[in-house]
Amino acid sequence: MRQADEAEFREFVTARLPILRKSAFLLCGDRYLADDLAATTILKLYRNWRQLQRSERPDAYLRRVLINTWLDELRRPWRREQPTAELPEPAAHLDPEQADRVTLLAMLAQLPPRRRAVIVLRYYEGHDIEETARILGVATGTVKAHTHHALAQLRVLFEEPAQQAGKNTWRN
Amino acid sequence: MEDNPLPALLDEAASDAALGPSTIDLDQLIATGRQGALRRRIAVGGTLAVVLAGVGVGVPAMRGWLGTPTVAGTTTAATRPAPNGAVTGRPATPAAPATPAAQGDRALVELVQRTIPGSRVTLQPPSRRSDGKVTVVNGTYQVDGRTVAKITITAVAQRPVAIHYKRATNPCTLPPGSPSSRQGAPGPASQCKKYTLSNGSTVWVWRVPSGDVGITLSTKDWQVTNLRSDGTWVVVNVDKQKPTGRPGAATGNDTSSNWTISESALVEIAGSPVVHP
Repeated sequence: MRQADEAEFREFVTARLPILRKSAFLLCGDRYLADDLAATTILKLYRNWRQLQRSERPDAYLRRVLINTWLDELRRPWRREQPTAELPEPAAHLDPEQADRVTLLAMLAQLPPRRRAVIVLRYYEGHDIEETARILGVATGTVKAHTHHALAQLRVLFEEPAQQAGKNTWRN
Repeated sequence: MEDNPLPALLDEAASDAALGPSTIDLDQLIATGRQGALRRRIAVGGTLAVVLAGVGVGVPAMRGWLGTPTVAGTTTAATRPAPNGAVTGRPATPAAPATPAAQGDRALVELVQRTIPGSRVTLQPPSRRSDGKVTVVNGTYQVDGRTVAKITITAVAQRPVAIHYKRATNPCTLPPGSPSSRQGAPGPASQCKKYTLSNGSTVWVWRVPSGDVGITLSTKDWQVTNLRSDGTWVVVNVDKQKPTGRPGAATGNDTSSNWTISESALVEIAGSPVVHP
């Protein structure tokens, strides 16, 4: 890669690294794996930087690489050897906000991978249905179906405590 | 109209406080990317050189076959690989003195063939991926000249951010939230056994059930993993070829008594220093 390209690459990645790590964290639920996924994504981008430069939607390309990297990680046989570098905090030590966070991550972990990806892309990153479909390489109808099922599943998991806490219910 | 609280909840769940400081070193990643690009260029150059050499040898040989006298091309038969692509013995023609890397590769082939009599293995050309995964060896296990299992040895080099893989754990223990028996994950019928090597590293043997039969004494689908102190993962897989039409063949269970692959052989391979990415 030429020096100018490398400077451009560095600028592109630096600007997107925070959101990349956060999206990876919501996908996998593990901060260390999130950094691994982001690092692997960055290396793949470096390798395909010229392709990315030609892309009309570099951010969509970036998301697609991240999600494919995560799906690859899920398929690896040795993913089962992933240790817990930090044991989960005991519930008694969590403040209410932390408890909410842990609960939401645990609920996301129960969603099938594609549904989890749709939730992250649509409700965290704010992509519309068409853009989400482009990133995932699926039809818009598939995104709608994934959204519907994911929200229904999350609602079942979350609604009772949310109602008890007087929170709003979710809708598409 | 009610607001959807999900975006705010996701925002909170992925807050900086939840995620902690970044462990990503962009400079290091770019340096790794540069090295990868350099390796690819070298590999492409090497392939080109081999092709050109092949053309240089093959064209005169073709001329000779067509009637033009030539001495070139007489070595092609000696360097032709075995029908199954396996490394099965010494080359037919004297080779140049082996480099340390070539000696290491040879040692790996010999290790597999010594520990698993009947195996025929091929070293893989470098196929290093950006995530450090390299398939080191592909091979087959044969009984009476018939391939009955695939042998694969994979090494995963230490990653740029090598925090995640810190210690070896029981492969049969699923991480929280991982569904049992799905996407290749171990199920209730899986059996895992721990071996501690003399150098202190831990090797796990996972016997993989398949079909409704579960694990029997003759189950021959294995995955053996070793996490070394330098952070390298070594994974040895033995996958029964299926189906072959014999009872039990499609389930990963071998009904013949000719198998000589043993757990201790696989543990020896996974723990051997000659396996490297």
